[in-house]
Amino acid sequence: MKGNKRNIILTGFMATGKSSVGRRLAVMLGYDFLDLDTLIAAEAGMPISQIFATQGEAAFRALESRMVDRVAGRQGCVVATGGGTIVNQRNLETLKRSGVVVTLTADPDTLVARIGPTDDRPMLWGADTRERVRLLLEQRAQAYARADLIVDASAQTIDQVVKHILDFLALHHVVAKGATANLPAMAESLRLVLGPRSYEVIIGPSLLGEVGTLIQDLGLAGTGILVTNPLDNQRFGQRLVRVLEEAKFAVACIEIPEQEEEKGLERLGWLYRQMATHRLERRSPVFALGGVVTGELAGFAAATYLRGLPLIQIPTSLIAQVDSSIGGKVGVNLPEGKNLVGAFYQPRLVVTDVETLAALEEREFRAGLAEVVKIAAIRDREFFAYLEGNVEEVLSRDLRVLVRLVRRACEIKASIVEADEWETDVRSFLNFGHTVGHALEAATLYRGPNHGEAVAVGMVVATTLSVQRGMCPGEDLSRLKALLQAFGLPITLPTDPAEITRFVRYDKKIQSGQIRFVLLRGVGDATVASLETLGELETALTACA
Amino acid sequence: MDTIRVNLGNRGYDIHIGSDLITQVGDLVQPLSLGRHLGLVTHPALAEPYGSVVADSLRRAGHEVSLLTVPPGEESKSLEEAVRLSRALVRARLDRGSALIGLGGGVIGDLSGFVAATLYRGIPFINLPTTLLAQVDSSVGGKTGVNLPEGKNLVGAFHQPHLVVADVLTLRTLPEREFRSGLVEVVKHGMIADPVLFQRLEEQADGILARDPGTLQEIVRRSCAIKARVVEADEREAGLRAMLNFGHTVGHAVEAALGYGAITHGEAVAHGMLVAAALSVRRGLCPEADAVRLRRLLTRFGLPGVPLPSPESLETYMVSDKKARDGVLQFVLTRGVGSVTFAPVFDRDELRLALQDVRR
Repeated sequence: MKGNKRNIILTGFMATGKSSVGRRLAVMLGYDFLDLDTLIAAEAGMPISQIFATQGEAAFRALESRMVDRVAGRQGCVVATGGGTIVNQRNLETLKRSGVVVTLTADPDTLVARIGPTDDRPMLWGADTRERVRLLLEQRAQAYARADLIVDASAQTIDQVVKHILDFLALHHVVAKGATANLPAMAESLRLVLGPRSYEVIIGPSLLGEVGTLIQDLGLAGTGILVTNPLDNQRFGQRLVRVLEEAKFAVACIEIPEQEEEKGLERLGWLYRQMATHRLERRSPVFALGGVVTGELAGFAAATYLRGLPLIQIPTSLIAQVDSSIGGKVGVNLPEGKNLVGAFYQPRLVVTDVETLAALEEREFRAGLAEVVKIAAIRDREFFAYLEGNVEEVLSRDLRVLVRLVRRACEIKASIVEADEWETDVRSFLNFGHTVGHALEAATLYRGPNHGEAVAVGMVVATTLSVQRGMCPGEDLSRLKALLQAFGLPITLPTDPAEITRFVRYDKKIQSGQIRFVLLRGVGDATVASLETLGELETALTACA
Repeated sequence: MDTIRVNLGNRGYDIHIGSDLITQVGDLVQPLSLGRHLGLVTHPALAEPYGSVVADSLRRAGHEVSLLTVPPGEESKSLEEAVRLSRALVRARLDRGSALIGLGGGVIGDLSGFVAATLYRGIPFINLPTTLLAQVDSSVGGKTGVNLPEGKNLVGAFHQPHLVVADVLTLRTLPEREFRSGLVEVVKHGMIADPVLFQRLEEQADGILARDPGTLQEIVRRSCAIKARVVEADEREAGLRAMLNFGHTVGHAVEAALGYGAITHGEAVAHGMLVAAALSVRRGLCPEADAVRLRRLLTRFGLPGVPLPSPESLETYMVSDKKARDGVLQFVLTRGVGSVTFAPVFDRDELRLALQDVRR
């Protein structure tokens, strides 16, 4: 099937919505989605702004042409190009041969408003943004005009633009008519079976609008609170409040910064007071819309206010979607260490809208991939291979691939949580990479690697230790390193190994003086063992320095 | 020593009741296979001799013990104090296999229970209640928590202890007023579910007031057994557990009207039980003779001890009670000694008349 499908190439100026439109178009058509800029950055191993800064535009354009050739060699893809890609005649022709080229346009005012800060947009560096936009538009007008279809996106929603393109493609028999799909209906659901604490995890695109319907049968009171961070509030919160209002739920919106240092007891006390001020009662729902910090802090507050309020998790970051939102671990940090105070408290429902991931900052997204790799590495060799085979789609945030990836990661995590809700046994496998990871975060005062990056290094250390013990093939360590690297994650220790050892000894996973480590017998097969000597760990750390 | 088993599946636990048990805590915890390092939380005034006795017993059994104290009083039941304790326990190197032991009254039990519920996402908790109220009430049921400036017990968790050891000898040093206030909950348990307990209280009043260990052991045992059965049937306080609120609707209003500190919780609940009984008699639910028995028994114990405030001053506090649904007060009424029923009270005049009955 895929073999006969011509590519759909979206081009046009920055901020016209190429990626958002492309992702939805791909999921509706059952195509793969590829984001050219993301692939370029992955190939170069650095962000595009850094390629510009260190190697100049010419080097960037050369790399871009190589990647154009690569995507043009594939079929059945929706490709979002960079804003300047088709200015190069050769690129345009290559792309036209591989499929249908669609230009998205918008008027300069709309563009300037949407662009915002220009740090990550090297083409706009160094000049008055408005003037620069006008100039670039003028330069590129001719190239953009050579597309097969031009759509003005200024006054249209993403869905309207998608429909416009689909109609055009059907008219020209590029795709079959009636290929439009109901996005929320594509959602998949997963049930965590934990007796009276069982709950559903709904995973799919375009689910935020469905929350009001999804919570109808949970027996919730009509008033509650929505805890979120400023950015997610701006992107999704206000809409969610309206969706809930339409479903007759009044929620007060409470913002907390999505920062690890905010996940402390002062912020918790503040949140309790907000809950008291809003007179929450026992059935009042707490909606946690955001990343890990939001979910764990709001989750712990929900777990302990009035001895437990119904909690609905709406994770917006990858790490929250595949890890922290399911399984019921909630908590806060003490000055002595992370997550030292907490609870096991299951949510009543998890709504995972993978489209929220499209807005995620690149580094954040990659950090989430570390947890995905972790889950595959401890439990599922096949899933690990799937990730190895779909690096480009994953990095481009293809929605179908994201649904599959999030679903599989959640399934594995769910099966582990079901087997061991209170972490007495197999659930500790999920700590793979975390013993060193936490120590690394602490040793760098939480200002160095983010959690995912620290876990990536931690996994490499733990696997090195496993190879050292002769229990894991060296080849599996190489595969782990290669996949982490392909996802732009670090695999070497940025600090002095002695520092890490010092912090490891504080870790709460130390049971009666024993340091427990999750090790690998190979990709997909984890086990727990006690550290024989600290020297054993030091050797592994040194090998990864 | 008597032992009551609280059957809550894999969260089930034993309550040991007897004399001179705190010297044997080390042996009593052996079947629990706790980690080596234990935290012990108490008040400075209880640290000697009780705290040392407990710590010595545990050390003889091979445990390392970190003793921490918190100031007495309801103000210690705060988030700040819970945080201070948690941090101190982390710094003392307690780990996930460690257990926390609370030695004291309701404040220690609620506070250290909450710390145990949340430190490392929950570690085993052992309660050594030293007040009558804690022995018969707060140590059974797994409710833990702290207060916020906005209200009492707003933050908390259900965390069942691994073991409760009630040493009735510790009751001998309890101040008289606190001891008598604790008796109110015992009377309550007799009223709601155990006519035999009620009768024992009537017959053994002298022995109880003299704090005879054998007599105390029996009434604590019977009282704990009732609370345990109610908790087993309704761990998460969904319904049946509400019967334990007998006397509390008016009791809370009395506490609030007089100001916390002016009257003990027990004294306020004594008023509440009398009002609930008067209401029940007016409705023809309860024989007048049983209401008289209740009043006589309480009087024998010197309760309530503080006069009942006027109906007018109580009314505003009752409507704001969290158990008031849509302004209708939910009452636990009595059908006579040993039996209760639930009923809404719509009619403010009816309540006023019952309050006047009690004031007379």
